[in-house]
Amino acid sequence: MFVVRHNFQVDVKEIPKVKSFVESTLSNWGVSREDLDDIVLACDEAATNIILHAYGPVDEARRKSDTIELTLRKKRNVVEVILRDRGISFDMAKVPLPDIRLNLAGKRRGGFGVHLMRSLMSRIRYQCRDGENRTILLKRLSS
Amino acid sequence: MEHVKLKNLSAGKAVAALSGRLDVSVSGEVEEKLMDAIEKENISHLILNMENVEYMSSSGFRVAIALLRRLKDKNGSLKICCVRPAVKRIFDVIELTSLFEIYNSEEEAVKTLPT
Repeated sequence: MFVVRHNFQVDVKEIPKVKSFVESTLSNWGVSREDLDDIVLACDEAATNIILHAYGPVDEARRKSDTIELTLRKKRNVVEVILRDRGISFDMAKVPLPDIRLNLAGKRRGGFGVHLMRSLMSRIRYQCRDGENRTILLKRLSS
Repeated sequence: MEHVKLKNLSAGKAVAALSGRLDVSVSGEVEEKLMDAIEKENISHLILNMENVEYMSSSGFRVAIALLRRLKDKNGSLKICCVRPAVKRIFDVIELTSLFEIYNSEEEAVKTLPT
């Protein structure tokens, strides 16, 4: 089993670093290009959601002091990603599917990130315990 | 790194060449620049050339939808061309392929613009 962990600042400018970290780790672990692309994008979306939604209404000082911890784990043909944060509880399971008509009418903006995560990963889960949010993404590798 | 280069074709028509990795850290800047150009240069028909876009997250798709909405409000159009296979796959996953007019080359997209 392989495990790596890294902390990122709560800032959209960190997203390229999240992607680089996930991409280089999975590449070193020999994950295929297509699976790697799916996991990188799902991690980008999950981290983006945490920064924009879990920390959206949170004050600047706390955003600067908190971090997002990202753990990558590979066991046989499964990659597990766990993102931990202490922002406001944000349950992705409650996000409705995107509705193009509402988006085009300007009545809704988004919903695509969670839809992408659900489509690209084998399973996504969310837990909130003692003020800590955990977003868990599972991917069964195709090869 | 500059992620948008705008090329005016003729009155009200332009091509925006996008490049790089379009995630949340750059999508705001891309949207602002293109929305600004649509207003200031009175663009109604815009082609997004994505030949040099290596990666696009949902933030990039939100920009494309916002542009489509703005241009439709002006009775114009948004066309997309030269999408790399890895990005096209995400268009398909997110089920947005039918929403946009997508062309294989910039030349093909330009030919469909009103004269």
